[in-house]
Amino acid sequence: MSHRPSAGRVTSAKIVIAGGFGVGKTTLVGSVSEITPLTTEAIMTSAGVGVDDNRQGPGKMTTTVAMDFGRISIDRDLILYLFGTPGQTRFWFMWDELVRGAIGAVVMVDTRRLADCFAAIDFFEHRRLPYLIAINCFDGMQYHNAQDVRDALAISSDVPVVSCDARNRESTKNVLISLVEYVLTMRRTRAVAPA
Amino acid sequence: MMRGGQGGSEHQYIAEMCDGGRVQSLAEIAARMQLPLGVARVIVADMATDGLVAVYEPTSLDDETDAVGTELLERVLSGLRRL
Repeated sequence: MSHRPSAGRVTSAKIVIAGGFGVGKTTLVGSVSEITPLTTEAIMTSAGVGVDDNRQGPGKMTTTVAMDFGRISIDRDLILYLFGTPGQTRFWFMWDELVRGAIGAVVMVDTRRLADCFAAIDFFEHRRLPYLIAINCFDGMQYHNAQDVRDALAISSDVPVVSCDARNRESTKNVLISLVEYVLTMRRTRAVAPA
Repeated sequence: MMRGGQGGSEHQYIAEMCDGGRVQSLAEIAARMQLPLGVARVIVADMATDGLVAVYEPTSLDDETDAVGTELLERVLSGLRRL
């Protein structure tokens, strides 16, 4: 380990971007990332996963799982990574590794297909990872207001619900800022009044 | 960052990506090399064993004390506001 960066220890943090297929995860990552969102593929041996068609034979099958990620250099020693989750719900076993040590998650919602995000919310609730809801306003249109969405998703009143345009850098930035502010507030509240 | 002539072209490519102390995520290395994540992980682990690269575990909010975690979050927050 003789090749250390001169500026001392470099740290990284990550935020997970979740939501249904086609909700704009890649777009959101791309609008704020300093690199073009990259897609990395993990080849999974899916024997026992039980969803794929196994009639081709009893042997193991491999499946390719793609996930997007982007990068924001916060300062010289701190890099923030954005990881888009694989959309297919049968690859959820990968999420455990994705969320480990994450600051929190953005759950993207398309109000025309609200149910697509239920599974992600359940997952983050179960893992106790802080998350917020970001309503992606396609074509600048918001079809439901934040309160309607909150009611429909049956989420706790302290979970932030924000609107965004995933194509817009400032808008995406504000979503990430809201998430980090929320996580900080939660930590401070916990520090003042331990449960 | 390469030392000596051993190692394949993958080693060379990864070493060049990390040249000058630039930190790269494993995911980024895998994506740029169009390799599955697991394969990139093995190559990087081999290089670390040979002392060709240094591997930094990501800062995990799970492991940090509240004070350290809060400081990290504040840095992320002010960094995002500056963007």
